[in-house]
Amino acid sequence: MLKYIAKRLLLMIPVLLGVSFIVFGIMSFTPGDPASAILGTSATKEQIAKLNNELGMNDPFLVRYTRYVGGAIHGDFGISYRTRKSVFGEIFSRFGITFRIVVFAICLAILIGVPIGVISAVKQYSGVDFASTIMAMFFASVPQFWLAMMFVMFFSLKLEWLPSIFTGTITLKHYIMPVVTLAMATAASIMRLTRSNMLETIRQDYVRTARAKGASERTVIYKHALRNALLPVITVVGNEFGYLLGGTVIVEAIFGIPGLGSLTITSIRAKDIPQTTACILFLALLNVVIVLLVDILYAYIDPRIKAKYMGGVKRAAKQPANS
Amino acid sequence: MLQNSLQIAERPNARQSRFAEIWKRFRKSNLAMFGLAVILVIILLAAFASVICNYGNDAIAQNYDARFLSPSLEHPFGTDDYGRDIFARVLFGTRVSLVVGIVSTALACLIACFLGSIVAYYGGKVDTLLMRILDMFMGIPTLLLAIAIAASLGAGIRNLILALVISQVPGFTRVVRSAVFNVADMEYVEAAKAYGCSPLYIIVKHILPNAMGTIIVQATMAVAAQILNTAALSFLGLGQQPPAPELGSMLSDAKEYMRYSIWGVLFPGLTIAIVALSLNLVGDGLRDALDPRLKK
Repeated sequence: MLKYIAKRLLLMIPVLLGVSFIVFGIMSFTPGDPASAILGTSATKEQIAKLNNELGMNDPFLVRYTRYVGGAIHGDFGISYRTRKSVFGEIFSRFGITFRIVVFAICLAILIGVPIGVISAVKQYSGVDFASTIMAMFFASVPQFWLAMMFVMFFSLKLEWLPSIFTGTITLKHYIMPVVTLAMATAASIMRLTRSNMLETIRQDYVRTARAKGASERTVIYKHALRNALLPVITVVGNEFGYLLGGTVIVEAIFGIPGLGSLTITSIRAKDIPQTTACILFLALLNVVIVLLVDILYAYIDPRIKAKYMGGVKRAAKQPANS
Repeated sequence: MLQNSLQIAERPNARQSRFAEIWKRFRKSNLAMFGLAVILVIILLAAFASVICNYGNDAIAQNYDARFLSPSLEHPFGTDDYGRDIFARVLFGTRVSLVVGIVSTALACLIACFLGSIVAYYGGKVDTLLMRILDMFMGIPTLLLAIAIAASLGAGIRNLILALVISQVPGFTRVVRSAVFNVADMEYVEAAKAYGCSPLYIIVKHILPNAMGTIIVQATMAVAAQILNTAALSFLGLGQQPPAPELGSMLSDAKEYMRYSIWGVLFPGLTIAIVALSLNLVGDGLRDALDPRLKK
């Protein structure tokens, strides 16, 4: 198991190197230059050329990329073109809020998705099942930002219960709408997966055996069926994490949240190459680490998978995301 | 000779009955049929948008006497902050969303079929190398990758499509690869190899058609996802430029005036949701129809 974890950790290095190369490449081979973005339209051509030269923009792409990686190995990810501060200083000051929102959203999605999924599987084809399936379909198809706007319209403008924007002292109330917005689509996919897994496990022989030996319905469902049905759900939670990290960009834009998502957008727009690369690199790192943690957790919980790792490390954990 | 002509005569029938069988199973699902009906109506409305409304007069021309009107017979969805008919703008905006969603998915699908079938057919080092490269792309959340590409290239429909294609290819290739893997070991593929068919012929004629079910289901769902992504990117100002209507950018405008009028928020968003929902319903139905074993 340790060998497997070590191997996965080592595999992360080329992935992150690749991510930095991709982002660096996207930012470098597209029109526009950082100096024009920093100085604005009022700057003269000479000023722009001078600043671009100072930023090292006149060197060939590979030279700049090698210089960047060389710095990164020594822990120097550069200075933001826009704010002139260390890129990771900026990231760490904004990361907390984003992380809180994503974690709250995941927890909420599980709290909504799993129980409803169980109920609609146990009562298959009932009214509850039908209603929750339709609701799940709806929430998987609704644009997140639109849902956010509807919430703002109803809870902020009409009822005036919740603040629509992150200003003043931040209380728990500020988090409610962003978290709910972010959680709904994930809750829908967790619910659908829980439902289909439960339907499958309920028909297994060991569940029938449990019933035959006289276990109460509650024990059968919660002790025998649910435990096994939840296993694939764990994988989905890992996959959804990356989706939520992307989704925060939109949610942060709507609620004016000073988090990592809004920092990324601002940096991309300003052609701030070091800041953008660092932001996306950081998000990718987070994503990869969570997926790894989920895989380890999965192996820890499911002895069958653990046995697979013990007997030869193959690409066992690479399961396609089929939700 | 006789055998040959018999084979030719039977072929269309065999194909027809396969489609007929899938259609028969698809028809049984009420939800899938409902989704299909809704999406067909929406496609028709979007295709004939210029017959139903006048682009210049209804969707673009500003009319300050008719701002923030509530829905009426004349303006079924009301009017926006420039007095433009929201219904007309939604129709033309839906057309843009559908085109972007379908074109970007189709292109991504083509690229993914090419890459996926090659790596799955040859396997080994080619497979490992390409999958590692795709892992790098998959490390970046899809929406974030699309935003980074679209924002760097500059706003516009063509760049938007390019961004959506690039961000979709890695995930799609994985699906194609695993679908091809399932088929590549079949006996008829081995038979074709023994026959001396070229790899290209085997991939195009034997493997891809049999992996098509999974790919089509994935593509249907992907169109829905791309329509949502298109809206999100336009909402951030990375899509169609004003005054041309697009559902996401309409919502972004409506955000500014939602204190005064809710119609500009309600209808474009509902339209996106209904389009995505019906495509997902069709995708679900197709999956069940193509693989009856999945249905319980």
